[in-house]
Amino acid sequence: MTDTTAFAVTEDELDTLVSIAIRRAEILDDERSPAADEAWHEVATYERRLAAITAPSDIAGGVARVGAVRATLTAGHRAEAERLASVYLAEPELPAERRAAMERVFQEDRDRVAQHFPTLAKSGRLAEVAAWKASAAAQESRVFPIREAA
Amino acid sequence: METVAFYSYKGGVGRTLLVANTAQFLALSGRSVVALDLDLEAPGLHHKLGKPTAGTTRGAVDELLAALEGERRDHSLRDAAIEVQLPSGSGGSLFLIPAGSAPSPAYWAVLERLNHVLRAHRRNGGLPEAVLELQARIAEEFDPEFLLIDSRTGITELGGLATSLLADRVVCLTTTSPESVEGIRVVAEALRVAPRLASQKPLQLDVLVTRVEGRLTRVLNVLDDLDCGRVTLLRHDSGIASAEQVWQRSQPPRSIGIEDPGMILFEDTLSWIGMSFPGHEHQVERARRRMRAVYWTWQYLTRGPGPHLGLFPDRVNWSPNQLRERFRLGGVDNSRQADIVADDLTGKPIMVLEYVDSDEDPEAAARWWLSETEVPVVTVLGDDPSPRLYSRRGVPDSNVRLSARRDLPLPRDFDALPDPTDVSVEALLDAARRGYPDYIRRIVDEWLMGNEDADEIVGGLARLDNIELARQALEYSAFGVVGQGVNGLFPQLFWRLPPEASVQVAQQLGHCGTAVAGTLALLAQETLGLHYQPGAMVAVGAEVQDPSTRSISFEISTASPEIAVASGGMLGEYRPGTNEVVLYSEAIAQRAGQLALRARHVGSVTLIHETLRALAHVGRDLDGRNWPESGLPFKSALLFEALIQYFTHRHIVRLRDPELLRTWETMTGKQTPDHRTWKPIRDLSAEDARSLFMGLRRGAELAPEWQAWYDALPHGA
Repeated sequence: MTDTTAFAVTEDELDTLVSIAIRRAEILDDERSPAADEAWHEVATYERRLAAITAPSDIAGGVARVGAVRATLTAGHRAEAERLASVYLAEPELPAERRAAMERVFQEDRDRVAQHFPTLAKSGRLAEVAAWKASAAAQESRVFPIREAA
Repeated sequence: METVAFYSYKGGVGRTLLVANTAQFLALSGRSVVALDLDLEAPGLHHKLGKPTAGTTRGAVDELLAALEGERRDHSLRDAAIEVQLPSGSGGSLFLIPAGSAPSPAYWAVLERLNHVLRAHRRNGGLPEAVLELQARIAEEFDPEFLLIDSRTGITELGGLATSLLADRVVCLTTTSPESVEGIRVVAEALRVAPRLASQKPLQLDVLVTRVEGRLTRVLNVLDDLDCGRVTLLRHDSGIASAEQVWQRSQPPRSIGIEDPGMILFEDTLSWIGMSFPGHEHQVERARRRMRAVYWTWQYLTRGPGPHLGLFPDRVNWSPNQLRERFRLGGVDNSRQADIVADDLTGKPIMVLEYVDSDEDPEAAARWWLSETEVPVVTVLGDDPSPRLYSRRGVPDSNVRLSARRDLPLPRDFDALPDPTDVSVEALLDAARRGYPDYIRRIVDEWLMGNEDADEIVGGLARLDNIELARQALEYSAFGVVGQGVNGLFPQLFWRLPPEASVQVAQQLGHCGTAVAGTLALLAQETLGLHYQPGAMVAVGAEVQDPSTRSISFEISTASPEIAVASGGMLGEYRPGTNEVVLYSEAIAQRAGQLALRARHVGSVTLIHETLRALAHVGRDLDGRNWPESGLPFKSALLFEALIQYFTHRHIVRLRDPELLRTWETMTGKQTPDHRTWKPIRDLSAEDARSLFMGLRRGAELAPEWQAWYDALPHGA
């Protein structure tokens, strides 16, 4: 399914879907289910489509954009989240509070990762690692697999 | 901290072993090292680093999982590390962070959970962050100079992270098999272009080709194409391949020599480590000396000195199961590490071996072991190939006793000898008499190895009364009799041991080219000036005469001699018709009883005497002549007897056996007048006696000075 076909789904329908998907993902998270990441990926899908049919200046449009980035990060797809964010942040009509919210999303993610890897964070190398992952994932001649590229 | 990852595309190339040996070598040469097992699916580094029994149940897998799950960190990484014990004075340190508690079921459960978290919970970061966190913690908590990583084989995410993300240097190992070389080529090419962290230097790549056999042209061409710096070849050794140990091997004995592939591999491996991780030259050399000494000692204990020496062919070596490397003994607050510990069959340490360098005091080391442990034997290894052995037996607390033993005790020594470091002939004879007859061989071997107490060895063996042990002594000493000369072991024992044993061995070995023939030849040559070479072709002028010198045979008869001699019976005789020397055992025993002598000594005197008569008959002179007649052609049998008694006395004096000499003096002191005729020539020089003997043998006239003596002999008796 492409973004083009998403126009066949109404905003109300997507609102409903995303609400259910978020609820489902939160429950799976509570259960530490192996399906949680995929559930958040589903949330991100609905949020992206909502963003695609809403204006960045609308409340719903802004929320959907921030939600899409947050859900993508929560699903563990950092490179994709950064790509999405760069697209949304390039929209001049995106309100400042949404931009700040998006930055907070990334900061929360960094904090969460830093909590897991405090020694690495203390050395200030997490950003370096993120860059390495992006570079490694993009490398066509790569032999060794990395999960980030999956 | 320099991080070095050891990687192989295929397994079975010796990767883990090289990690372990490199780690030990660096630590022994004063460096601080952490060895990390990231071969999570097949962990084994803990086996190569001494199978530590005490330590952690945590490991790398637990730390990676804890980080990814956000577990509250309330422990140090040291809780997951095992300190590999090093000898005192090494200066370095070595910590092992194992993969985990493998092979326990709990380990595999944790590994499965780790894989699950990596699959399902990506938001908390991934494996790259986790392994970098572990590396950062190692740097922070251990601050080592080197982090050595045993990496996973094949193409895996963790293998890729260990090599391309964690490492400053990757050591790629491959065998010469096409699939292994091809895999390394692909990986090496990928690593050369792999992205690096911004703070990292370019990756250094080394290639080691292991288990090298046969032609390598194709492999080397492939590796040349890689342009990956230095390529090192390590040759194949089946022992190491099967035992997967460089320092320890359990192969059947083979000769240890310059061409020993295990030794070549050992030296090449040390050279590679030394070149790849240069350090303080003095400390590197010191580490090399220690590892070499321990290697050689292990070989010696488990394989022996090598069959090429021809020694100890039946020795029972130490089982590798009885030996432990790098084992610490002593109290909790006062312990010391032995390089090798030998256990008895119950697992109790009975010998420790420690390498002590030339600038240290070996006696102080021995004193520590003997005062702080209950181990009975301490061996101090050094650059000198001969170990120093110390024993606690009979030693005051503050002293140690250095043993004269030059080889290492075997398991059997601990059973048979009260003090395994005491291999004096008396101790070994005592063991032989107490039911360990094989120690007779040990005594003989001591003599063959050139023990300084050669006289004591000969004297000790010569005192053996037990016929079976005496026979064994003769059999063993028959080895290498050629070239021993008149002071050789066999030529002395043959005449000094109970004649029953000598005759048995003579009957058993035969005469042509044997130790017995050599011993008779020596007696003939040195005493009579004749040649005795049964079976040899004898050249006289241009002709070859009598190709078979008659050989002498020996027999002990329990029958009474047919001819009685007034002095108590005929003790033995030489029978010229059959060239037999016969000893009459009952007559000998009876005569010995009459003279308060021991029958074995009377028998030995008789054996020498009758053998000289035989040699006088069958021996050849310089012209190749002997006496073809069955009789003895002297003008007087008394003159012949006098000369043979003279030569008998001379030989007994040369043997330096006080008991034999006393027996001879007693026997001749009780001779009838007819048999005392030799006494006037007792002090004749050997040359004069031999000249007289040869002259008479050829029928020459007696010189005037001898004629008077000859005329005075009781010819009619």
